[in-house]
Amino acid sequence: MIYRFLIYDKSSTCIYYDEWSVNNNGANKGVTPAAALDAEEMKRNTFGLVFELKRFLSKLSPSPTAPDYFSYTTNKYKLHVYETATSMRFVLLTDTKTGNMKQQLKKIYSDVYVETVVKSLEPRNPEDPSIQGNKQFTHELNLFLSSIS
Amino acid sequence: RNIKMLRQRGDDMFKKTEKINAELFILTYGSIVTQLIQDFDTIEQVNTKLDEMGYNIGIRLIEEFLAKSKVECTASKRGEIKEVADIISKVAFMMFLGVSATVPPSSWNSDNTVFSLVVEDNPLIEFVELPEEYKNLWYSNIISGVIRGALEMIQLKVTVKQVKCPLKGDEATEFQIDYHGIINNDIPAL
Repeated sequence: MIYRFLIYDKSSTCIYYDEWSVNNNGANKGVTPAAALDAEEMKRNTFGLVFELKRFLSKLSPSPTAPDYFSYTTNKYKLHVYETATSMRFVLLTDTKTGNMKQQLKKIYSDVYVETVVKSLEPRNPEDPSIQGNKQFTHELNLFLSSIS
Repeated sequence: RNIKMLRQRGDDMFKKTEKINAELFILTYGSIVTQLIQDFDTIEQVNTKLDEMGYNIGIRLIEEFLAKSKVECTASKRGEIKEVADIISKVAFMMFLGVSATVPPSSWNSDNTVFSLVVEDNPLIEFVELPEEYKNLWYSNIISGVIRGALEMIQLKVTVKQVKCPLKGDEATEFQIDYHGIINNDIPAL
């Protein structure tokens, strides 16, 4: 069961976000102004967590190189992060029973993101790197996520 | 990681990648260069523009390269430019241009921050002749930009320029790469 998915680019901007509610209606994604602000704060907090946690984990690690995937589990959810060499971060929140999602996140990067966003012929606005409106990406992503949940 | 393994990886990637008709590619590139020469006043401007275009390609190409080739880029995090040089010459060139480049050991400077990339059978220059009035043109300069853009996205700062060209009478195409260090974007402005 997948609860939430976010993508951050190398400048810490959240370029994609989607949420699937536990009650399976998935409708309320920041529709009211208050909820929208909460969503923004959640995105910032998630980035801060991912960023700091990786730095911290690298310092404690017996290996000299920083990890490109890590996850933590609470009694309510599990958070997985995959970071590419280009400092893009793919964050996934799932139920606690889900296993290692490194390969799946890597596949989202290579088969969904690269194919539909990097190779997209649509003009890009450097001011607004968000891919929330990219229909091809959203479609492929949802297909992929359905296949793995 | 040794050269043989990288070479093998390069060959595998070449086999797996979707191909485009070589002549179409070469002639399209030729028309782009010709158009730029018409659009700009000086050849220097054309060289700069080719580099810019290459940069814009490079910043995206790196994602495809990392996603497809599955090369572990820990070398870039440690600033191990020698390994990065091998990966570019053996895997990346093979994957995208179908030819492999070499990094002559003699081209490294004393503190291993400058090296050359030599391409023997540069596909871009096939069928091309360089007229006398364009002798300052670095015809393959787009590749300089591609390398610079791609490496910038994996936190390596480099300057790249084309220094030898068979269209000017040299033996092979050669690029000089100057490595300036790791780009530290550790603290983002939140």
